[in-house]
Amino acid sequence: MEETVIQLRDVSKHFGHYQALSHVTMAVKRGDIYALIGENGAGKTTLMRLILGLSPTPSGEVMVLGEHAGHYRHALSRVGAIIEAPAAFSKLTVRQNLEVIAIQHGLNDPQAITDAIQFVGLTAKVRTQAKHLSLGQRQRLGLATAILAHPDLLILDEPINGLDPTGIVEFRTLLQRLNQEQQTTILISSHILTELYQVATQFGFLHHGTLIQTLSKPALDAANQAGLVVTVSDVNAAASLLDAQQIKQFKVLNERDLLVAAGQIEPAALNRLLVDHQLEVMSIAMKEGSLEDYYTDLIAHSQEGRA
Amino acid sequence: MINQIRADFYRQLRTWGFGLVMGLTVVYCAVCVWFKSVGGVMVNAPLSALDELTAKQTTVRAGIRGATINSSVLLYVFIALFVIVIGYEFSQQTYKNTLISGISRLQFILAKYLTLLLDLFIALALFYLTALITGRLAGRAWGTALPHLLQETGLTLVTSTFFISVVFSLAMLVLIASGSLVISAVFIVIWPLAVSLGSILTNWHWLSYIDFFNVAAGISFGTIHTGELWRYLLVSVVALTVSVLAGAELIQHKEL
Repeated sequence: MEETVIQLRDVSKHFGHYQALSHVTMAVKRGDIYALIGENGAGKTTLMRLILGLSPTPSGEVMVLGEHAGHYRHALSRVGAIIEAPAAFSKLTVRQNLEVIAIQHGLNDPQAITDAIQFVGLTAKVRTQAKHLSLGQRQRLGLATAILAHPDLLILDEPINGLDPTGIVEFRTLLQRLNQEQQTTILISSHILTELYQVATQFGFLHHGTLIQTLSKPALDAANQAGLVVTVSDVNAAASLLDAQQIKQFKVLNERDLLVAAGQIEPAALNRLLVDHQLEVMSIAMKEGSLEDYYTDLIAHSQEGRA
Repeated sequence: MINQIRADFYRQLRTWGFGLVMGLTVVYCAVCVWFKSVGGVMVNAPLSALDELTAKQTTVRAGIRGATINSSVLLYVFIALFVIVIGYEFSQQTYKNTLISGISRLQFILAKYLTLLLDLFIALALFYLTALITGRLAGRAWGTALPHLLQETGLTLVTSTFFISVVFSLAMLVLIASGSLVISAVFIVIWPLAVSLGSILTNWHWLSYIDFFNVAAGISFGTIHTGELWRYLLVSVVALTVSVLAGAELIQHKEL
C-alpha cells in the first residue's frame, strides 16, 4: 500500500514582508527519496523546519505520519533529522552524544549505538569529543544521531556539506542502504545536484518559495532528453532549415551551436541534411541531459513566465 | 519527560562543571561554618540574629542557621547548573535534537525545571550536610536534640530548594524569550540585587514575597511567621506556573 508520509497542503510562510513559502502542496510517499532542489533562500530549510515543528505553521496544513504539525504526539519519535547544521554537545564524545540521544528515545540497546557509529564510519572517533571532529565527521555524527532510533522518516538538510569526495560517495551509499534495507523514507536537500540525481526517486523544485514542479525520476529522465549538439557555420540558416524540415524540437544555444532533441533525427541524416544545403558542419555530439540543466532551464522558464 | 531528565543527568555527570559546582558548594560551606562567617544578599537582614550567629556560633544548629544566610550567595555558583542543564541546549542548538525526539514543548520545559530542581536539592543537601559535619568536626555541640535538628534542617533544605528554583524557572522563561544565555544569567544575578535595592529605596514590604532566595532564611530566623508563609508559597507557585506555561507557549510559537 502506498502510504503518504509527509503531506503539505497550501502551506505558506512569511517572515515580516518576506514570503518564504507560498501555497506549497506536496506529498512524500513511503519509500521515496525526495530531493528538494532550489537556490539559496528558495525555502527548502523553512519547509523542513515546518515539517519538524521547529517553526510554527501560519497557514495551510502539514501532516507527518498521519499527525498534524503543532499537535504531534508520536510522529516525531519516528523521525530523524539534520537541520541546518548537525548539533552535538561539544564536550561529549561521539559515543556519549549518541548515549544522550538513545536515552531521550528510551533505547536501552548499547549495540544500537555501536551499529550507528559503525554505519556512519566513525568507529575510530568513538572517544573523540565532538568539538575535535572535522566538519565532515560532525556531519557523520549528525547522521548517526538521526538514524540511531531507526526512524521511518529521515529529513536531511544539506547533509553532504563538508564531506570530502570519498565521504560523499559513502554518504550516498549509506542513504541508499537506509532506504533499501530499512525502508526509510528520506527528504533531502543539497546543492550538489549530481549526488541528488543519483540517490533521489522524486524531485521537487522550489523557487522563491513556490514549488514550481514535482516529478519522479523516470519523468525527469523523459523530460530531460539527451540531444545532438551541432556546431555549424551559420546557426540561423541551420535553424531555418530544421524548421522547414518539420524538426521542431531544437534550441539555438549560441552563435555556432544548436541542440536538436534526441529522437528527432539521426546524426548521420542530420549531417547529410546540413551539408546538402551548403552548411558547414564542424561537429555533431551526443549530449546527455543532467539535473543541473533541467533545473537551470526550469528556473529560466519560471523567470520568463514572471517577466 | 523522564527520559529527558535521565539524559540531562547522564550529560551532567560527564561534565566538569557539575562536579565543580558541588565541590565549590561544599568548600564554601565548610569555610563559612568553620570560621563562623555569616552574610548574604537579602531584603530584610535579621541583624540581631546575624550578630548573634557571628558572635556565638558555638553549636551545630547555629552553624546551620548561619549557613542558611550564606546560601543566598550560592546562587552565583548555581548559575553554572542553569548553563549546563538548559543553557547549552540553546548555545549549542542541541534543543533541535531534543525537540524532535518526540517530547512536547511543555514536557521539555518541565523536564528542564525538574532537572534543575533535583540539582539544587542535591547541591543544598550537600551544603547542609557539610555544615553539619563541619560543626561537629569543630567540636561544637548539636545545640538541640538531633532529631529536631535534622527535621529543622530538612525543612530548610526543602524550602530553600523550592524557592531558589522559582528564580531559575523565571530565568528559563527569560532565556526562551530572549534566546540569550547571557541575558538569562544576568537576570539570575540581578534578581536578588534588584529586589534588595528596590526594598531599600521604596520600603515596599511586598518585595519580600519575590525575594525567593531568602524565604528559607526568613523562616529559619522567624522574620517570616508560619501564618504568613502561605503568601510566599502562593506567590512562588504562581510565578513558577506562569513561567513554565509561558515558556511552553513561547517555545511553541518561536522560530527555533
